[in-house]
Amino acid sequence: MSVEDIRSLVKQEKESEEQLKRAEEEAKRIVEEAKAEAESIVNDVECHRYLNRLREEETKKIEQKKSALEKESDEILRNLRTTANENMEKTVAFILRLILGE
Amino acid sequence: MEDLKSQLDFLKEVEVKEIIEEARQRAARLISEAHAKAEEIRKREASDILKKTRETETKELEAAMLEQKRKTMNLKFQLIEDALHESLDRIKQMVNEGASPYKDSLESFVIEATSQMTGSEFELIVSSGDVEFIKRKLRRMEKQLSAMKNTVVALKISDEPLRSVGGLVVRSSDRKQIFNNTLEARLARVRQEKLPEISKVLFEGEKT
Repeated sequence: MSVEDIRSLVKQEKESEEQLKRAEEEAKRIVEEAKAEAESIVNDVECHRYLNRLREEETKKIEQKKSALEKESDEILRNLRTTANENMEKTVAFILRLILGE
Repeated sequence: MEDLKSQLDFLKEVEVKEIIEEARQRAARLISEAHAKAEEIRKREASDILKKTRETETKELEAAMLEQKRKTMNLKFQLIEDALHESLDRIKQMVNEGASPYKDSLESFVIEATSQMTGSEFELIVSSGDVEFIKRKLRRMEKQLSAMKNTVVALKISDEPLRSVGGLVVRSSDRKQIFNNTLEARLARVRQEKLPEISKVLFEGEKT
């Protein structure tokens, strides 16, 4: 092996080291990018949007049930009033009988 | 020499590829773990939201149902009161007109009150409008009560005027016993004892 060969090998080795260094930097970049993406996935805005939508929908369902219950309640009160009006004469007659002891 | 250089190149290439491949695999793992973590967070938070909204729903619907019951009770109470007030108004009208259902009942008011008291001498406190009517019935009532109590019963009309819509107050001559049989007192007793029956007639139309 000539001196020239040895020089050529040393040069090649140096280039290899640089290439490996570049590969390691590239690897580091790939991992860092992945870490950033992973963080973004965990803090996903879409996920928050989904949860907010879910919360809103559930709240809306409760409001709908409450509203239905209120309507039902109003209907019950209206029917009660109508029935009482229909039976008022009969009731007054009954109370009069009780008071007068007939 | 060229073989050696070529071998070194090959080894270097392999090593570079391994470094990059290892980085890519690590990156893929990180992304996959992040997706799994995000999904877990989403499920946990969604479950929390559903749990909290169920709790809110139960609480709010229970409150709404209680409110409904309260409103129904209040309305029933108000309607029964309306019926009682209307009844009292009708009785006042009957008393003012001297209508027969009221006059017919006066006699039984005296008998009912006196028969529940001890003793044999009683004063009847009546309104001025009823004095003449009671006077006319006095002997008959004394006779009836004497038979009921198995002793001679004496009734007299008090000079004291009755402050009431109608009816009467019976007082023993020693003033130790009083039976309030005024129309207001009778209405109060009806209100106290007969609300379930009144409610049935008013809200269910039940015949009594």
